[in-house]
Amino acid sequence: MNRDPKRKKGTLKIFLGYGICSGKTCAMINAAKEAKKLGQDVVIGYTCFYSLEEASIIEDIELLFPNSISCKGERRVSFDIEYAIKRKPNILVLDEMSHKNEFGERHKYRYQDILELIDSGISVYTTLNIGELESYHDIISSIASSAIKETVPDFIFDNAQEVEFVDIEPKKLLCRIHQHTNLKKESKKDIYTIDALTSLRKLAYRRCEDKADKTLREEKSNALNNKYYFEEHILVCISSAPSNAKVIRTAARIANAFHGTFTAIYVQTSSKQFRKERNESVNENIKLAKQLGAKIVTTYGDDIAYQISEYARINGVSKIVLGKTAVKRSIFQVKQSLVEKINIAAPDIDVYIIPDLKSSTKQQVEKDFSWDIPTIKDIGKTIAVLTGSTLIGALLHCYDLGDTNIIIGYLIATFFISATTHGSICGILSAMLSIFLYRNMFLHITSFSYVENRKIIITSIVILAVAILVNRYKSRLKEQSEQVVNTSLRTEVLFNTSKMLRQKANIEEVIEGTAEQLKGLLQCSIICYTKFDEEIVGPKVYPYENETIDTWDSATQIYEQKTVEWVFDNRHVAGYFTDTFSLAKAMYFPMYNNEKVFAVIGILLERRKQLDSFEKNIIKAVLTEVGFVIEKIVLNEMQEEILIQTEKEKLRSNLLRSISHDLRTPLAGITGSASFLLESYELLDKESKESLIKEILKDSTWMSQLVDNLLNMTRIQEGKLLLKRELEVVDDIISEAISRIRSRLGKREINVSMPEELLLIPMDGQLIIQVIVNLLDNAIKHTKEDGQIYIKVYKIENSDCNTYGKFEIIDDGNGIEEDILETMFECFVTEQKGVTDSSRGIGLGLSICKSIIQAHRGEIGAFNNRKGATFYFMLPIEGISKENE
Amino acid sequence: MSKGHVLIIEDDKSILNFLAISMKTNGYEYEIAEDGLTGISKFLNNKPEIILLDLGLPDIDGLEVIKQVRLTSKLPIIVISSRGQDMEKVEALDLGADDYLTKPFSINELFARIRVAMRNAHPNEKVEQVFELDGLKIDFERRLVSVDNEQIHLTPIEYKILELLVRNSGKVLTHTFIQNEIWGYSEYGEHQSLRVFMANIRRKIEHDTTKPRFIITEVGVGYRFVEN
Repeated sequence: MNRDPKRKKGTLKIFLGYGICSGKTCAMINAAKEAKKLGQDVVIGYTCFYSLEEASIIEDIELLFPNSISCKGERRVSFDIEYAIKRKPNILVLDEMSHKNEFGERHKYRYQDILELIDSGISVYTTLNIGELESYHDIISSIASSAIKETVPDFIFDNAQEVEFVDIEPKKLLCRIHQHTNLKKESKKDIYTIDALTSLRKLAYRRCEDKADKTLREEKSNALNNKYYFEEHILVCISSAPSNAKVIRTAARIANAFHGTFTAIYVQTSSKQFRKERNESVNENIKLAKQLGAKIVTTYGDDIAYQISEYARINGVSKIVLGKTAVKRSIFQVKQSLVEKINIAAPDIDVYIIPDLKSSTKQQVEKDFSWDIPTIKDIGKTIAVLTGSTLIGALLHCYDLGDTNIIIGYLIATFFISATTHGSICGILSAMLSIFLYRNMFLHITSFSYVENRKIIITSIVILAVAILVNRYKSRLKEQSEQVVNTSLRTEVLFNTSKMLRQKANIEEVIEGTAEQLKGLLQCSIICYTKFDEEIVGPKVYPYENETIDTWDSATQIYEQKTVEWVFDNRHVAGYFTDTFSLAKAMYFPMYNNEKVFAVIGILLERRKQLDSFEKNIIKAVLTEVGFVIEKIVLNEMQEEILIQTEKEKLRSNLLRSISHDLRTPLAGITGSASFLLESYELLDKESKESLIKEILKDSTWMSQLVDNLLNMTRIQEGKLLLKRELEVVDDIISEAISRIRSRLGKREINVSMPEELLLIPMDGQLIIQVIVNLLDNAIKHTKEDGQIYIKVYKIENSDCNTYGKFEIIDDGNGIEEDILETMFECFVTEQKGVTDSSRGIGLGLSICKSIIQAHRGEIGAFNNRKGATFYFMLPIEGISKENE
Repeated sequence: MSKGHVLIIEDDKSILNFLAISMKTNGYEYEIAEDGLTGISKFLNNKPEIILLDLGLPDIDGLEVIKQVRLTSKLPIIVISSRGQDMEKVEALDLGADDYLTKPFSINELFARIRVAMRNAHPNEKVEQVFELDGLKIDFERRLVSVDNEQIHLTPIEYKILELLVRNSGKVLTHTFIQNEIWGYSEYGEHQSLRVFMANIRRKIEHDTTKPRFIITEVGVGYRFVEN
């Protein structure tokens, strides 16, 4: 069920009709029968007939489920997509593309089922009414005066490989509709009049023609090698207005009619952001535009007209489609309408205006004030400030410093309260209270004159105006700062994420880090599934703070597992809050690169209930970042792999060359001596015979040692060096090594110095013996006949308080040549450069020593003494166990 | 008079040739089997006194041959193995093989092993009361050990181990075998305490532990007390 990009996808054939009873299903079944005759594996997933008699036409086509056939008016049966994919027929017949699935099924809509089937390689036959296409939604409403609820996005229709229009005369269709009495009465009355049906038929014809044309053009442009040709580019503006959907649909139709590219632009302004209801309707509209095949562009800026016209100018937009919004006139600034502004900014672009009567400015004005109930603190503050200004007023009044100053005092108080309290109530209340207080405390109501009255009215207006203005700007300022905070938060999160991710060396760490990051960001628990050897592992839970996570019952577990599997296979978001597997407890996001999904991150939203669009965007941005990082890691790993491989190859070929050379040399000696002995046995005296035999013995001993080394070498090189680590007594190891080398010692003497206490070191005895033998052999090679060799073993402690056993092999030879001191532990470094004929040794010994010591997590090295050289190695001692009696 | 009747089970021609020649020159009677099944049948028919067995045979596993032979006989078996066959070697010994040789080996080594094996197969009826070698003296009756006439103190277990080794001198004893003899059980791969005991015994009886005179470590296999 894996989604393999190279795998063959299924095709989609749509039988298009323009009303019910137009014979789509029959046409589809007939086509299915044809296909079956041609040897295809055809299965019916679901069909719907008007009567059972009619259903008899399916004859012998296999039914996926016993209840795959239903009659109109019956309860619709659910369709098990998992079983269908498992059955994997060539062609699956699935009636009624626009069907909305029952709550709790895998996908919300049937067309999603169809897309998944096609992706998994199954061809689908389905039926569709022209009126069920998303872009015709409004037209159908206007023709038939009742909206169709279940619609299908246009791109599915446009991308379908085959569309067969099942035509019928409207009159005949009407007759048929009347025949089938088991239909609901109202649907007959409302939608199906001759006029309406004719319009629908025209629409269907036009759509089919468009599609045919489009296919033709695509083929042509493919043939022309995708050369650029002039194209209309239609831009539609998305707003939060509820009627905007209609504008978008109209634009889609225009784009379709002109065969142009279609872009939807959403301008995010500071004042528009982060209002929940609005955001939701904007999201709805964006989703709609996407479904209609638009490319979505979001720009940020306060000047909508400028943003739109700039985008249009730069991207070669030819037509802009706008909804006509009522223009909000402000007292302080004379505003041009959006259309006027765009006209001025981009005079050479056509602007289409779609009447948009429902949108009103009322909503917008409301937004500037929030009627939240003030907090006790705010009320306290209001009272305190007003009392204060009243007291100051009283003071001023006592000294008779004039009313103006008192009024200014109140004005400042109102300003202060409006600006610092939450919501608008306190500000306006304080304005009213100020007027009341001023009037009652400082004016003599008894001598209430006309002049006084006028004065107070004007004062009231001024104070109120101050309160209102301050409130307006305050709310704007607040929004703007909110936006700034959000934007900076987003930037910070992304920055932190990428910083964090860059430090991660492998995919597991990346997944872990991402889960932690998202947990902190969304403030809810995260679960994480990973894939290991095609097995889904998990969930690993990252609880938010001390949130407890309910254990799932087995049914839930199976459902979650299924959801996760689906996400792994389809690399698409699913689960809670989405259209797919919406009953899942968590919302699942895939983490993937180009090739495969590495992990699925689930966000447990049970306590949060939902995500806002800001959070969704951030999750997407984070996951995109993660995708890049994973890609990078995978590439790195691949490169490393290749590098290692080439290294290995190089080593192997070098090794082969050296071995064949170095084996041939002693072999030549052995063969020569032996054949000479055989041929001239009688002629030779005893002494020469002995010397020849000694030569043979020496060469073969040397060869057998070389082979030993080679055997160890291959063990190491194949990466199969499995250390058989056991606690070994160092004395034993040293004595064994010496006994192996004894025959080559000659007159050289080996002096051993061991620590008093018994030294037990975990090691692979055979390998360490080999190391010592190699080092001793080395020492023998570089010392004179009567040289001295010392072996010293002692315990040391390094800076990290780890104890090591240090072995030193010291000789009194001529020391190591300076220029190979650095490299001699590499493969094939020997002291004599160039001709290896003259000397024995292919420089394998030391490199094997190094590999063995490294496998023991030890250290190896060498240095020159005043006379001779010291080779040393250290082995870690972990927990010496002394088990004396 | 022949020193003994040897059955050589070995498939490598050059080693066979070398073994045959050396057997002949040293006065041993011998016969050859080039695969395991022939070897078993020759063992059953001709009743050899000792078997030299190569572990890598063309038909059946050398270990299988040991099992079959041990079903009916206790005759000495000496295993010939190549380097890198440590595991098989130990397994063969634990299955009842008496000794082993690692290729390449010298002919002197071979005959020494054969001698030891034959001697152990026909043990002296009278058990020696005192053992003496190169300054090491063990009085089995009084349980006294001395080196260069100086009495040394051994713990009971150390003494038991030393006695076991001396009584089987010249023969390799695997870790498992020694452990079974001394403690009555053996855990696979757990030979550390034995190593410690051995190291302590050595320190008490050897002059230079890196050039042992008495107890030789067969790395990865076990211990051998030198042949006297």
